[in-house]
Amino acid sequence: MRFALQRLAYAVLVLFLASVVTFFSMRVTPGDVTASIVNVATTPPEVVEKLKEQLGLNLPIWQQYWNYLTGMVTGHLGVSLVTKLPVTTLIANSASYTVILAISAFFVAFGLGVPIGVIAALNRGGWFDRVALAVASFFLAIPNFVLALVAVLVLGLQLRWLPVSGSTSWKNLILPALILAAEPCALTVRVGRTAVLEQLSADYIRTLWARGIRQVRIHWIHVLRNSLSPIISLGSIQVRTLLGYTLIIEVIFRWPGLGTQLVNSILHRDYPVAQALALLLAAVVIISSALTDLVYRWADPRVRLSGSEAA
Amino acid sequence: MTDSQRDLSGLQEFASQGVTRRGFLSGAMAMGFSAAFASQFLAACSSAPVTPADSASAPASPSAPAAPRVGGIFREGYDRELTAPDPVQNAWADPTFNAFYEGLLIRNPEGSPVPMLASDFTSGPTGWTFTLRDGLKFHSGAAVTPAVVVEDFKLFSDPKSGQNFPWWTPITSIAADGNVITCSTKSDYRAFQETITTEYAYILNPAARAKAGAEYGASVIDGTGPFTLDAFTPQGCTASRWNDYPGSITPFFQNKGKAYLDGIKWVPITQGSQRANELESGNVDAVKNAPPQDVDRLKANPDLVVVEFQELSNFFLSVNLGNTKLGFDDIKVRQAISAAIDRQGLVDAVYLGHAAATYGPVPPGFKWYNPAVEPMNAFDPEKAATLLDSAGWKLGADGIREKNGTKLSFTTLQMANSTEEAVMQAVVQMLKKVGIEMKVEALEGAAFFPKLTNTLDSYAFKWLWSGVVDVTALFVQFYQPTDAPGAKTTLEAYAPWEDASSEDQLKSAAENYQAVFAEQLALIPLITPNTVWASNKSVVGWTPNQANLYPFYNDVWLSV
Amino acid sequence: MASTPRSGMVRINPWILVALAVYAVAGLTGIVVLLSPTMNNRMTDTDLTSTFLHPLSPGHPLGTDSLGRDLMWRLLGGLGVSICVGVGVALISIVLGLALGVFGGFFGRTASFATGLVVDVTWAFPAILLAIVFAGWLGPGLPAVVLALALTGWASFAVIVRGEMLSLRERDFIAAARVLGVSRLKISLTHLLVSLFPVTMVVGVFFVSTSIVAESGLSFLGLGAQPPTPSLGVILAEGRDYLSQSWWPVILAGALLTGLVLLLNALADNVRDRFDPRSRRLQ
Repeated sequence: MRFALQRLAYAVLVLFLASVVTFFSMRVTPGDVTASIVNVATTPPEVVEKLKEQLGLNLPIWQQYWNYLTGMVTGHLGVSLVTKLPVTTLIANSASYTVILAISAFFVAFGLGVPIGVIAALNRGGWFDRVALAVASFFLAIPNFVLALVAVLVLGLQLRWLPVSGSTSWKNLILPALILAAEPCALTVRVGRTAVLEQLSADYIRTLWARGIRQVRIHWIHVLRNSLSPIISLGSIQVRTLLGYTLIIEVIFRWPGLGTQLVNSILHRDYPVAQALALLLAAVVIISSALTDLVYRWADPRVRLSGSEAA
Repeated sequence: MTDSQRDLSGLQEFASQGVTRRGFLSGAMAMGFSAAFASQFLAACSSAPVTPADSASAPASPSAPAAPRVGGIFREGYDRELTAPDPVQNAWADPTFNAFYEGLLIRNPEGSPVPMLASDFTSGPTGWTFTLRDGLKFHSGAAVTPAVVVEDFKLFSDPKSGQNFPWWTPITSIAADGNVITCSTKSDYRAFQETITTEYAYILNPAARAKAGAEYGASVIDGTGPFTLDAFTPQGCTASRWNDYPGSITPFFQNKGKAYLDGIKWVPITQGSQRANELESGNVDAVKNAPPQDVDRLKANPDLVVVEFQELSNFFLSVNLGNTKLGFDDIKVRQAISAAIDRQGLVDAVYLGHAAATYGPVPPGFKWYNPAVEPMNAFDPEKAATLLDSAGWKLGADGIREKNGTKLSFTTLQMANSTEEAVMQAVVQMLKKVGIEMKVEALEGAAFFPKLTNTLDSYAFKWLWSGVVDVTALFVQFYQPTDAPGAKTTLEAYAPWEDASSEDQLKSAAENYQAVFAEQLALIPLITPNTVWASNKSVVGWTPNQANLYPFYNDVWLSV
Repeated sequence: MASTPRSGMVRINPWILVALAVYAVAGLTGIVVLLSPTMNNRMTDTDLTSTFLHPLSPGHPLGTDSLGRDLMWRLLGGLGVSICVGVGVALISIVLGLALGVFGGFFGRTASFATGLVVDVTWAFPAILLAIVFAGWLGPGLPAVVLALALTGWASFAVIVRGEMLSLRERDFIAAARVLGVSRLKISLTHLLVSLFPVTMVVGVFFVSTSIVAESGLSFLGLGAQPPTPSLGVILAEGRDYLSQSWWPVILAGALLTGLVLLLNALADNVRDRFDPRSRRLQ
């Protein structure tokens, strides 16, 4: 419990620093925000100034940061400068798309990756193992946007099996989710396989054998449970990678999620949206990493015993 | 006079004379305000619209003899991000305006003003009058009274609120008497008909706007159009039929009653090939601007209807006439740049034929197009080399020309757009062949516009405007140093056009202006793309025309 | 990881080395031609009369793109750009990671904590945002991409270095050396460099391959290499617009990129196996 609280405090600290970095890096980037709101060239300077004042852009930068921070804490995220929509609405809307995509990909990656990895390990050196490893190597190597383009070309434009752009039906989810899952799945196969092999060669397995416990039980209960921790920590790293990947996949398939929203808002210098999104993505990474630490301690008793150096 | 009053009068002055309407216009165009302002200029110079290159007036859908079917959601793919539709202040008028709002008058497909919310109108030396129809109301149920219209007009004409206010400055007073709204002027202001028919003069409920504040247009819309707002998100905007719509008297609408469609969904699809794919896969029923590389494929598809006509636009390259160091002040250098560019090659390769090579200031489809501009800027690399040699720019060892120790090397800014970037990449190579080194930097709008000034070395831009003669002069006036000889000569040739009082005079002024422009090359014209509207066969009554930027939805129905 | 290089004598698969050498030669050719003012026109010259030529066309072994540019030369140039960016980012990331890792691992708990904090903040910062920020400052282009990637890439290496440093600090021989009057930092660094060599090799190869993918991804989105510089990402983005006219630019650039990453990953695995017998045992 104490560890959990420490971990939480640390996560808040990281989040605070991330908010500082994202806020200031965005504000020092050249680009005229008012150019995205009104016609700067025709609007009299007085009106532009008044607009900037209304938007709070004329305040000292520290004051602006403070307003932004208090807004974040109290849930007043403001409205988009470009579309006038409340930032919360915008984010809720696009987050729902990203969450659906990421969760689908996550399930595909682990749902396929773990069994394949375990089976490959149990058949070490066999044809399944070799094929699985070779396919995994290929999917680890092919960048997902290349895979996406090939899929668009073959499945979408030539065979016309699946829609290649848009978000109107569940069919639109299939390609982006599969492509997003390809690399994490391949990685899960490899890590899972290695972890299981490691366990199989451990001493306690021999003991279990000696006690006459059934092979299936040994493999799928004892070995798998003890192989979990590397897979879980892989999961945490995956959250970060997946978030990065969703962006480009969303753009290619016109999936209206957070990544598309983030890029658009940064390019328009739509600060309220961009800052809230950047912080949200940071929070996801930070929280997932904190959760991983906690789960990791639960799954692997050795970590629990060795103290709280994990932070 | 208090300070604030002085500020205000400064604004008025700025609006009425200091910068002139032209000044506002130029900035407006630079911001890509095409939708807002396009066609303002038709009236300003009482010019004629560009005649379509292809079958412009062909309806987007076959005129099905069957009775219109009620129901269904029409899904329209759009080539930009959607903005919140607010007639008072809005960055870019989208197709959504035509569903939610109506104006007092509207342009018919031939470009003439016809009644919409006003049953009648007059215009004369003392101003304009509009007779408001009876029994009109807003979506919210509030009555559309002459007082409300006056309040809207005051919002539009106030420099502090209305972005279209420069066109309202000749109006000295706005008042209502009975059902008649009077906009007084000191002299004849025929051009007002263009202002009053744009999206930025559509009637809205000012009380609803004031109440909604910054969220007006995004979560609240209170207009008189045949559809009401459901939801507005960057992923799309949805609208539902307004069942209490009092009907329309607009002559060119077939449907005088409420809309046939249950609803409309606008889907922003900014990537070109996705627009084509989503139309083909049935994600949307229609798209605006399929990209050139997909047009032939769409046309070959028997399930689709494709309408293509020359856009009221031109993609041009500008080099700064005041730059003596790089020799851009020298007409020979500008002519050499122009002669080095193979425009037809660009049309065939980059636009796959769906564009027109442009040798003079205006699109070749223009009513008073002067074909004499073509030989003046024909593709001739040898002529380009000779011109540069005679201007003193000699080939250096590295293949780049030099004069007085300066290399003929410069950077051009353009807005990020994959087709236009491809054009510029090809132009870079064409210039390189005659010894000119051009680098291109493509920027997003938020970074591009702050850099666009009359001291910028070079930029490339596509204007989209219905006043095709004026727009070119405006770019010269505001983004070139006007004291440079090339700019002076060009603007002098433009003056007779402004002063013309008859069609004949306009014609000869336009022809002369084009010839002078094509010689001086204050801007170097490149390409006029086609605008392409594609829809599924099941869509009936969705008829893009050249007088209005977007189709209206009153007549649209889905046959399946 | 602490095993010495000599302990495992796995030979690096010669075929991987041969294939990588072919890539390296091709990439270097690309770079030389790209940088040569008299020859780089092979990559940038447009020919609007011969667009979308198929592979094996006369004069254009791999065909041409939408502007009639020779695809073979553009792919070679793109490969060169990829390799330069990959190696550049890897070097900067390793130097940065080493510096911050040593700092965090040596100067006590506070330093360790501070390094951990910086790492976590870096990980929480969307790399795409950094790319746009640098593109805003430096103008869009490869320098902005290299900086953005290096400034996010170093973190994972710093964590490894810090861990290694922390464990070294506790070892007996450090204490012994201290008794002998040798500076603790100097000893630690020496041992660190020896023991870190294998993991640096693995991480270095890994950085090269991830940076190559990231660069082409950013260029694909228009945030990286700017025309006329050929980059595999730019070729893919341009090819995507014309996918219904020609499939080969996308397929060729994609295959080239995938092949390179496949080889680099295989090399990284091989190097790891060479230095870490435990992982080899499990293959």
